This record gives sequence, structure tokens and C-alpha cells, in this order.
Amino acid sequence: MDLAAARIAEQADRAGAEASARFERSGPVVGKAASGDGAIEVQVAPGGLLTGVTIHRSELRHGSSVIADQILELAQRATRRAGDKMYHALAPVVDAEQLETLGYEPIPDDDPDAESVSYGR
Amino acid sequence: MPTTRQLISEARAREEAMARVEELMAAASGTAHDLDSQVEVTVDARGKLLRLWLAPSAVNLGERLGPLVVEIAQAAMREATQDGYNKVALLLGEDMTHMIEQMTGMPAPARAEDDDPGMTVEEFQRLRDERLGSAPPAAPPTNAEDEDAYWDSFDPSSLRSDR
Repeated sequence: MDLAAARIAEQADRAGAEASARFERSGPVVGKAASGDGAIEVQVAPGGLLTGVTIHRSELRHGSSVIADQILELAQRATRRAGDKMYHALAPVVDAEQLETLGYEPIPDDDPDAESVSYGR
Repeated sequence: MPTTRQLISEARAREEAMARVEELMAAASGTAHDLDSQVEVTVDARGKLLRLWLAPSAVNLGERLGPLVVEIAQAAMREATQDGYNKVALLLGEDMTHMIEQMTGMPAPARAEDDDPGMTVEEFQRLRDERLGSAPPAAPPTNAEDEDAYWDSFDPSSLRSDR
């Protein structure tokens, strides 16, 4: 049992070292989404935990339930984006199947949640 | 000395159990609210927002509302993590759960040294009485004379024998 644990830990360490080298270059992975007018901004960690919510004062007049619905919708979009980034960062070192069980899936380019990519860089 | 067949079946059972861990953690969720119950958040064990409720008065918090939602979501995630481990421990037992916690680097919040130890029976009873709006039960009369009279007439043979 200890042996099994050590082996799994070692594998995780090896994959982790490669992945962390990637993240060092790119900084911590976050997913972001903002409402059309930019009045609400939401940022999440991979997996979806909220790490930042900014609500512009002008938005408060819409009432609490509208704000709650918007935050929920933006958080879902940001979560998908963080998952997409994680997928692309880890795909070279971790099985796609394992990434999907972790909830990290790529967003198709034609999906409305896909982040607008600037071409021609 | 276990036979090879036994070892194989044990290993298979363990493998099946491990496969269910993911499923159980995925089904876990946690809910938290702030002290004034203006913000209530439910998340899964990975932290994904499942439900957000804001009291109508929450808009009065102004710019503090956003950071409060983040704080409550993080508290909800600790609840969800614990919920997941509680489910896993039922399936795999305490030792295996502890090993998984070490492997994931995400210890169960209940193991934290500053974890709230919960409440005592007395505290629970007091809060319950407060909630139900009833006064705590009046202490039985401790009239010294009554008590003496009781003990004078007490017959130990009236106690039930445990044999």
C-alpha cells in the first residue's frame, strides 16, 4: 500500500514538474468573463472557484436577483475558459481522458464561450 | 498468508473503490452564507459555482458585494471538500481517505487545527430553547427538606438489578 502510494506520488511528481515548468512561464491559470458592458467581471481558478468578482456601482440598480444570475452565468463561462486553458497546458503531459475527468475540456473555436483570439500575431 | 487469488481480488476491489472516488467527489457540494445571510453560495468540490442567492438588501453593500461573494464561495468550497471526503471515507475507510488527502495535497477541512470543534450538548440545548422561544426548563425544586424526606424513604432494593 505504501509502495503503491509512493509510486503514484512519484508519477504525479514527474507530471507535476513538467506542468509546473509550463505554468511558471505562463503564470497561474485563471478563467475570466465579463458582461457585455463590462459592468460585472468574474475571475475563477481552474475548476471554477471564484477568485474575483467586480460589480460596477451602476449595475446595483438592476437588483440582486439579476446580479446573481449574471454572476452565475459569467462564472460558468469563466470556468469553461479556465478548463480550456488547463487542457491545452496539460495535454502534452497528461492523458486527455484524465483531463476530462478533472473537468478540463477544450472549447471548440466556434463556441460562443471561446475567447476571442487575435490572429496575425 | 493470503493466496495470490485473494491478493488479486483485493487489488481489484481497491481499484474499483478508487474509481468511485472521482464519482463521489464530483457529486459533493457545499453551501455557505455570510453572517447576515445576504449572500448564499453553493459550489461543488472543485469550487464550481452551482447556485448563488443574493438578498434584496445585498445591493446596499456596494463595491463590497463582489469580494463578499468570493469569500463565501471559498467557505462553501471547504464545506464541499469535507462533504466529498465524508462520502469517500464511508466507502474506503479512514486510512485510505487519509492517503487520498495526502496525495491530493488537499486535507479535509475537519483536520485543520483551527477547525471549529462544534458545540456541546448544553450549547445545543440552549440555542434550541432560544430558537423555539421557550424559557429553559425550570430547575426542579431543591427544597432541602423535600430532599431529605426523599432519601429517608429511599429503598435501595427498589433499584433494578442488572443481574
